[in-house]
Amino acid sequence: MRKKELLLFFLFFCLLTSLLLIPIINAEEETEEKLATTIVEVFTSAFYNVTQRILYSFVEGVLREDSWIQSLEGILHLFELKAVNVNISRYESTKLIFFSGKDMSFRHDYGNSGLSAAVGSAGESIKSLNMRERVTIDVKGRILNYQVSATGKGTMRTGAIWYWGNTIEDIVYYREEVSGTFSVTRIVSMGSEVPPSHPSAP
Amino acid sequence: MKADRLVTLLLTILMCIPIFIADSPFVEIESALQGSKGVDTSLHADHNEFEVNNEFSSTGFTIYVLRLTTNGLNVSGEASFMVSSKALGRFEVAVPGTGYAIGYSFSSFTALVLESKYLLVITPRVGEEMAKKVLQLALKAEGEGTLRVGGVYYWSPQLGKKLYYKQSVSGEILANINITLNNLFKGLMVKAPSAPRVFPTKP
Repeated sequence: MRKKELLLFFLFFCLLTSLLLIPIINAEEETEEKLATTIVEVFTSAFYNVTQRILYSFVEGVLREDSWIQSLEGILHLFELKAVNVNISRYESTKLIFFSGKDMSFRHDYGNSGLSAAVGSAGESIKSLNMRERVTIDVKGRILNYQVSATGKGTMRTGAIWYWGNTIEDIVYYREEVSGTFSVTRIVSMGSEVPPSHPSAP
Repeated sequence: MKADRLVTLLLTILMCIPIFIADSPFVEIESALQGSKGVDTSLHADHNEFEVNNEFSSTGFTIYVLRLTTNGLNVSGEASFMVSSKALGRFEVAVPGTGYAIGYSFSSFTALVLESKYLLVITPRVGEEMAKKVLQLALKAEGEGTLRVGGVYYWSPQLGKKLYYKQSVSGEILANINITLNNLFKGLMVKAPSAPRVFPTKP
């Protein structure tokens, strides 16, 4: 009888220990992320073009970033920080752009095929720009969060699209354009998980 | 045998969780912007239970705030702006296939300040029970131009049984309008809008 009780206690202890270890193991897995940091600085008075294409394929879908900036003349300071967690199929990117010059154009496009959604910003005839952009893409968790704050002069557009149903008619589509001397703060959150509702002050 | 059934039940529940999550898409769009040479926006959200359309264009100095939040069933948000020159806009919330809609449009040729907030609450159908629907629009406007506000509610499959409401104000306007459509009661309850005041322009 004693042996049986001891065996049961041992089994219970093993079960409890394994249950307690699961979150620790998961946390360790999540911290094993591949971190890539990119810092680009361009100072020029001639034509320049910065083009970037990033594509990550996961079992759950593909996340994509397409971006380019070009100008005939001006000073550009571009700072980028990107982090990819391959274990949880998550991507985070922060971009800071400071520009002063003539007729700068840019386009940043982020896609999440796991969510069937895309979001991005574009600018045309930009004379000056001070912009901060942050995007979080979670292919497995089906999340796409996008925040942009910008002040400048020219024309700037932001858009988002999400096919949230099984048919092409179930769609959320959003597009916004502002011209002249502008100031912009935009947040687009799409996904199954509820993101934090209020961002930091611009 | 009982344990097998319990495990099967638990597995079924676990397998169903992603389906419930997938049925509740979350969208949040928040935008606050100002532009000295105008703003051009377009918002369209089409789902089984609702449809939201918002379009706005201006050519002069504009301050614009747009918000849309939905969990796939309930929708809330606002569209507010201040313009100092030509502006055109349209806004509509509708429940497809029910004849249950509310909206406004405007054309302004001088200054206009407009604040609008909307809410659509839908409780999903349970068996044969009718879904609960509440559709509200609160609108404040002040400026010079033309503003049209309207709502329609077919409360019966028969075409004759409907509410149709349309209001148009022009000139120098000051409007404060609240509309509530709901099917919580057998009858229909519409909160009467406050009468818009139209002031004649100064000679």
